[in-house]
Amino acid sequence: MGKKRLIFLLAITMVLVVVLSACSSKEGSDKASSASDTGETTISLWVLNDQAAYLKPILESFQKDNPTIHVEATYYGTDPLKESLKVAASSKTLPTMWFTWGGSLGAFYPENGLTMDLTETAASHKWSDIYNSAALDMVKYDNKTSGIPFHVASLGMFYPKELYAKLNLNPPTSFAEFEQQMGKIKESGITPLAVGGKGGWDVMRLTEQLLEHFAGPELHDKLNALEASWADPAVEKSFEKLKEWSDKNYFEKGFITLDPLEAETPLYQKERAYALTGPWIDTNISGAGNAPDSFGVFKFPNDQPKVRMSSFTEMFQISGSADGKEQEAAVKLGEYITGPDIVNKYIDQYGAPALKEFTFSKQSPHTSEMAGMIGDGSFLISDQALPQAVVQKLFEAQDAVVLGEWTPAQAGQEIQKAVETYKSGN
Amino acid sequence: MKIKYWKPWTFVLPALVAYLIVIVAPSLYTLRLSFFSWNGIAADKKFVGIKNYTYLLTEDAVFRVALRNNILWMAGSLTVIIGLGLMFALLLNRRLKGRSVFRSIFYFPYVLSGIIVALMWTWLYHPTKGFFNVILQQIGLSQLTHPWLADPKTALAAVFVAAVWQGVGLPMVLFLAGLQSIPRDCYEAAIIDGAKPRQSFRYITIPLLSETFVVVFATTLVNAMKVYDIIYGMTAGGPAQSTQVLSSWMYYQTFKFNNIGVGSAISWVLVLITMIIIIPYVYYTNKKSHL
Amino acid sequence: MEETRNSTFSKVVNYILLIVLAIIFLIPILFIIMTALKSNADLVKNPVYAFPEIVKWGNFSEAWDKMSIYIRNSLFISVVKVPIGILIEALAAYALTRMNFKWANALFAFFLIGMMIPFQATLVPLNMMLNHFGLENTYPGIFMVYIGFGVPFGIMVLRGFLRSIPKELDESAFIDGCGELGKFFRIILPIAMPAIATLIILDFLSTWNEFLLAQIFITKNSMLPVTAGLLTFQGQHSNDYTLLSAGVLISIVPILVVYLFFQRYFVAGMAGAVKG
Repeated sequence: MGKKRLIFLLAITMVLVVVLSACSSKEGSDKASSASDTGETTISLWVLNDQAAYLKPILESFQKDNPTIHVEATYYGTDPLKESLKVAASSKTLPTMWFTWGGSLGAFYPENGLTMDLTETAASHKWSDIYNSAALDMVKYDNKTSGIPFHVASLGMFYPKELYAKLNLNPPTSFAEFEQQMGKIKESGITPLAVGGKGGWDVMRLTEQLLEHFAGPELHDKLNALEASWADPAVEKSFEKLKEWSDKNYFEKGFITLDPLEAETPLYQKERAYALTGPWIDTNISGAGNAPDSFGVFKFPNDQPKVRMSSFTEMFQISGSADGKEQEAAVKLGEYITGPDIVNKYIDQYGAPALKEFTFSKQSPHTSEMAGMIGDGSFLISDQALPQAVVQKLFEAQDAVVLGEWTPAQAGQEIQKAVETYKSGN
Repeated sequence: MKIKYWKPWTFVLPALVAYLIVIVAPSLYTLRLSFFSWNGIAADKKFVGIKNYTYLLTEDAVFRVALRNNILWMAGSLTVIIGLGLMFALLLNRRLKGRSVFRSIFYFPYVLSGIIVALMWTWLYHPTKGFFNVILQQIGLSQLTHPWLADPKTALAAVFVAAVWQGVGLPMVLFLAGLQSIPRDCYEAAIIDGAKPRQSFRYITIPLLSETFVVVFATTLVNAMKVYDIIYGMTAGGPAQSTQVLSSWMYYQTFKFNNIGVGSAISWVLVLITMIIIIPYVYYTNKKSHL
Repeated sequence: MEETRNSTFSKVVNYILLIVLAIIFLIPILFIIMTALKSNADLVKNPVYAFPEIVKWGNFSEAWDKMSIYIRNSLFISVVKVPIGILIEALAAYALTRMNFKWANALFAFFLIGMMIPFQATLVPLNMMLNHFGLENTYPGIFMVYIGFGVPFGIMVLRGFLRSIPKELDESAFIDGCGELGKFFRIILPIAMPAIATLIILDFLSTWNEFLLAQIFITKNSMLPVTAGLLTFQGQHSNDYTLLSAGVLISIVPILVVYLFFQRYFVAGMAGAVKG
């Protein structure tokens, strides 16, 4: 009886597998045969899931225009993408092209010779006429252009206008006023700040603005350049403030392990008062059924004479070990996605492009609004400005301070220790 | 009846080759890597002697946390999981209607992957919408609601509760098999001799289960050393690295921070500890099977 | 009289305890089912334990769109890996027990050492090796790794069973003129069927549930097995618990089916296997 059953199940699974793999092999062989006929190229692309809304139609139209190029796109969450790229780098299985952030986050791949050198492409395709110069500078490592600029984003405080009207508030002009507002919002029974601690980077957006507030731009830049000690009273004060806000429950309960996307979701429903984020939030807001222009944005009031926003580049890197035809197709795709025609067409959802010029959209009010705000200058976001080993320590320090494991002073000292280890290692 | 001396080797060969290629050679190479400083990609590795090990022991605070967590996990598994497993087995070791249904329910979580268990329980522990906090609030104990996974003081325990839910079925089944191999006459004889149930448990059940205990201890300890999926899936080692274990910290050092040397050293620490646990067990079973 | 009343009483207590424990054990699963059947708005508005306002089956079809490929991959990996693995383990176990093999005990001990080596200790070199032979992101590469890791346990279980088969059988087979391979396939393998059935189930289970190796050695999304695939799925929908729960349930179903069909083997198998 038992044996019969086992044989029965084995037979069934065999049939299932044969059927299933027959389906897949048909796809496979179709592809293979047409590849040999027409010289088709397949390129793999890794991108973020929240880019899917506009990348999916863009990829479709790209393949329509280029029938010989087949794009296999995989969509990841933020931290899974970072991790998958690292793992793939170690086994040299990187996709043909991938999305990554600039600064020290994206540096790993060119530094280890994993990316295609795009310097000549940039020159012959006259990238300097297409992309803005700040973006082009930020995709350069070791004087080599290593990526196709995609976004230049900066971060501002987003708030639902209705809620502000209801509580009789106006965008704060000073740090003190901002704190006052948070207190008031908390009293009205609403958790003020939408922030998720998982992965560290969402909390970091607050930490770095607190640093800007307490240390001032000069010291902040020196800290990021590892030229000043992190065991500084200003750092201590910043962490102290972070802890204070957390203790006052200005963040959601248990936020420290909350996924940033999950933490931000209530804001789309106007159930939070603030999130420190970028213009791509418009896509999420409209995805949740609300109008993006029912949200306003202001610069984090850090009380400096020039209120700098944190900003960063995003880019596509292309695998250095892919064969020439694939690289060529990937460059084509990268330039297509980031080029003016596509950007202008999809600007409603696109976020802030890295182009020199583009048409602003009424649907996505914040892209243009924030482009206008950056006039006072910006600083490079911490997780791209600092070496990754130090970034990890910064994230750990944020968690530890919020959870009361470390004192704010200890946090600064621990980060400084990581800085010194990093320096001695080089 | 003569078998050529090389004949057995041909039978063993496929398994032996797979074993050598996949387990033996790579783990020895990892031992070698643990004496180097390397990022996994660059062409040159720098020999650093035992520096990776001294770094772990003297400087890396997270390594100490991870080691401590593994030990706590072992202690918890030995007491809670084995204790509950034995209790469940005793409850089921009777002629009861629906016994196999109960057994299936308790054993089922064991067949799930750690990732599935992790995702399920992360949702149960959700700070505001999760089952536990909502129920606590409903029954008027809202002062007891807690961000279970977000507080370093409760995070490891919270993950462990999920692991208990998943893992209790294994010792239960093993004990149940052991219990059923104890002849009824033993108990009957004990009753005739006037033994109380507690006494017959202490003097008959426990000693006759000793072999099962050895098996259960060994598997539980080794599983506790290897714990990874459920931690990775629930907390990824956080908050503030408070739930890192050796396996997850090895993963982060190797694949996230690209410290192949340090990661390799951690995995060899793991190998050594596992050996200390399992060698007496292998010795014991070997001795038994030679009798 | 006294004794029966006592035992009825203890039986009732026993039942109550078992029922309470069973309910506690089922809560997580029920909770996931309830979540998977709700719409997001429903989840936000009503308490989590409330029944869905309207049952939303759409979560399942949406999750299935993304999860089906991972399930197919896992099925493929398991169905190929398990028989090959068991065949080579059985061959080795046969040599270790029935071929007057001088090195049998030493070799067995050598295989057992493998049980102590955690996957972590092999990841980086295996990664380099697969890469060197162009086997990264291929199923043959994954099969090799999985088969290698299955060897120690498989040999331990099968050796234990084969030892218990009386030697006289071999001799009669020899008289009948079977070669070693014939003896293995025609006599020993059929007798060992119960042990092999057990091993098939256990091996299927551990292959299906494996996560760490898949996480490292398969970086191509369309090839991921269900464990790693589920995590990708989670990364994409970290703010959508209804969809996530549906994904979790979908990935539970195959294992539940196998479990319900072959429970006996699971339970007997686990108990038998470790006794060796």
